[in-house]
This record gives sequence, structure tokens and C-alpha cells, in this order.
Amino acid sequence: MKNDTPYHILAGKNLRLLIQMNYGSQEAFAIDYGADLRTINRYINDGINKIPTVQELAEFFNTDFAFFFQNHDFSEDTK
Amino acid sequence: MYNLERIAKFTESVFDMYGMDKYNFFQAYDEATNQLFNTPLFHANDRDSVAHCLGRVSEMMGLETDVFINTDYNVAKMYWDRYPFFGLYQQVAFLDDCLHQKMRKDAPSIKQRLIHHLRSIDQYIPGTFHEGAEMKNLSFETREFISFPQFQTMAKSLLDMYRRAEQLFFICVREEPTAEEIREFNFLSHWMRLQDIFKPSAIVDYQYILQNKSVYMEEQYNSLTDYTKSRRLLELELWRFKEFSEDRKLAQNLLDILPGAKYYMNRFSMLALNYDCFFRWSDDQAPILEEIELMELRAYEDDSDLDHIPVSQIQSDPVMLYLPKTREELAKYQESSNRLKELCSPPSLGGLNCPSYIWNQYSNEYFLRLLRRMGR
Repeated sequence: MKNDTPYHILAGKNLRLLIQMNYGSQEAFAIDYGADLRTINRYINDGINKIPTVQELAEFFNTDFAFFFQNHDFSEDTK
Repeated sequence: MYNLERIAKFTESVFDMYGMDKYNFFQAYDEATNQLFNTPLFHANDRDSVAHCLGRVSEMMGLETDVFINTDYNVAKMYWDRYPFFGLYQQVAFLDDCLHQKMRKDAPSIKQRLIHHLRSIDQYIPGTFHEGAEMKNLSFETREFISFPQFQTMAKSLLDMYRRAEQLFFICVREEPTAEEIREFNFLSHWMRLQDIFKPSAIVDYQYILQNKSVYMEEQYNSLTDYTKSRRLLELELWRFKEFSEDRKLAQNLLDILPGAKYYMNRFSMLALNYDCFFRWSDDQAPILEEIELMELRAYEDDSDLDHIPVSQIQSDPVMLYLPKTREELAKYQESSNRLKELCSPPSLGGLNCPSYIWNQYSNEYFLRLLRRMGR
């Protein structure tokens, strides 16, 4: 399937997916990850532009860098 | 007549023994250069000035003034004898020095691998690799583990110190502490640099508790982390020890007294597993700033007393990227790296539990506590 979503937006959507899979809320993730909740909201809504940020998140969630740029099933978070 | 020079020298040796912050005693801050500089302990040699200075030293070090006047080393080292942490951590300082000397920088190999890595990222983020361009000013940062077989003893002693400080804190708040308890609390709070969560410039020592006793009495929390945070404990970076991740229970106990530490653990883990690389591409284009961005830059320059940089000379940020270390580079710390990485991950994936802050700044409780301290 062709993926037309800009890469940084896709990374933000996949971060949301990982948070949903591992935490009860974005706030719980922000506290555990040690980031400001507003920063996490910005990543999710506006995307992630910086490569090192994606690399850090990939290490944290023990997933591949590539995971952030793949089109996963976002049906849950579009409800 | 006392020998002030001898007293000052002895006092400085006690500061050194405990690694106590010398600021405002043997060091002052030069605002013009933004640097600390050495100053004598006694600025005047009249009786009142000396007594005042020794009173401050005595309060902070949790030792009676006579200990300094009599240069009584046996009494001065009472906390050293009570907490093995101090003796053990002094050995770590030596290991740290050795580590800094042996850090190797094999730049050509890293550059080649970085090119390969950039190409692989380019398939997900086109434009990451600049074909035909050169990397300029490549530099990188990395960290290495340290191995200290007595880590457990040292860490347990640190926990003992923290728990004792916690016990004494509540005695100071809710009961009438003895003179000895006050001295020990003052020593521990100054050594740990226990800051008031709501007023980080203040060290929470006995005097500070007295000044804020009504607020503390009103709040019925039971943990020291609900009231204070310790920059000093964070700066110890206990996760850089190979042995930290070998004892999960101990690691969790340490994290429990260090809200926010998981972020620093993560940062260390990234730098232990990777090189954090910085460089510029030779074909780097000057950024096209929008009006608002230029206004922000000018405001920053004005606030910082900097000259305005001409628009034509504004450079884009350097490229930053993590380059994974090879198995050989991780060498004997491969297992430690993997274990620490797991401890840093979400609890659902085996990571440690980050203590939830009762002082989480998004909560109403945080706001109410802030207001309470402002007398509202």
C-alpha cells in the first residue's frame, strides 16, 4: 500500500500507537519518559521532525527505527 | 589566639573529605565571567566575623564549632565512619579519572559507519544523506560503563543516608529533634542538596523547616520525595555502574528516591549504546527564517547581550544522529548495556517503575501547594 503520509506525521502517529499499547495515558508516558506533556502532544499532533528523537523513542520502546515510518493500523486512534 | 590559617585549611579538608559544596565558603561566583573562583574562608579576622563564618560552616557540616577550632579530625570524620558511602565513592572518583584517560576516538571508522547509517535512514526520510557532500566538523559524544565491585555496599549505604534524612526530616517537622539529630539532618540535607520542590533555590535544612513548619505540618505526606528533590543524588549517575542493572531490586529502590531519574538513565543508556554524532554538510543551505523566527532570534540576542548576526551568516543547526556501537566497541559491557536498556523501557516491557510525582506539575495539588507556600 502506498503511504502518502509525511514521514514526520507518521512517526507521531506511531508514537501514539506505542503509548496506547504501553501506557494508560499520554501523561503516564510523559512522566515515565521524563518529557514535558506538551512536547509529547506536539510530537503526536504535529509529528516528529528530528531523527535523534525517533532513535531515542525506538530504543525506549525496544522497537526498530523503521517501525515509526510504517503504516500501522491506526483504526483505534481515529475513533 | 587561634591560628585562622590552620582552621581554614582543616575546614577545607573536611569539605573535601565529604565532597561538600564549597560555594559561599571557599568559592564565589564571578558574574562577569560566569565562573567560580577561589576565595579565603575568612574575609576578616575580627572575632565576630570568624565566629559568624564558623557558625555557618558548623551548621552546614553538622559538626560543632569546636571541631573546627580544635581541628579535631576524629570527630570531623564521624559521618565518614557512619556511612561507608563516602569512603567507597572516593575510590569511584579514581576510577572515573582512569576512564577519562582511556576513552578512545576512532574518528575515521565512525565516519565510514555514519555514512552507511545515514544511507539506511535515507530510505525512510529522504534527504537525510547528501550525496556528494562532505561531512564537516564531525564530533561525537559517548559514555562508558564503570565497574565497581563494591557498588552494592556503596548504594545501600546511600539508601541508608537517604532514609535517615527522611526519618530526621519528619522528626524535625512533627517532633522536637535533639541537637544531635538537627546536626545530622543539616549535614545530610546539605550534602544531598535537598531542594524544596517549590523553591529550588532553598536547601531544606532545619532552619528552613522551622521557617516553613506550618506549611509542612498542614501537608500530611509521608515521603521525603513529596517535599524535596536532590540534584546531588542525580549527579551521582548510579546507572553508569555495570553493577546497577545486575540487581533489579536495588535499582528500583534507588529509582524510588530519585523521581525523574529515568530520563537521565535513558540518556546514559543511549550514549552507552551509541555515539551521539554532530556535523554539518558541506552543501548546507542557509535556513530561510520566517519573520517570527527572526524576531525570536533577535529577542534572544538582545536578551543575551549578543551582537545581531547578519542574516547571510545564519547557519542551520548541525545534523545530530545516534550511531550504534558495534559489538566489539561495547565489548565487556554488551550485557550491561542490554540490561540497562531494559530497565529504561516502559514497565510493561520490563522497565523500572518511575515514581509518580505527587508534585506532578500538571496536577491541581501542585498548584494548591504552590499557593500555600505563597501564603494564599
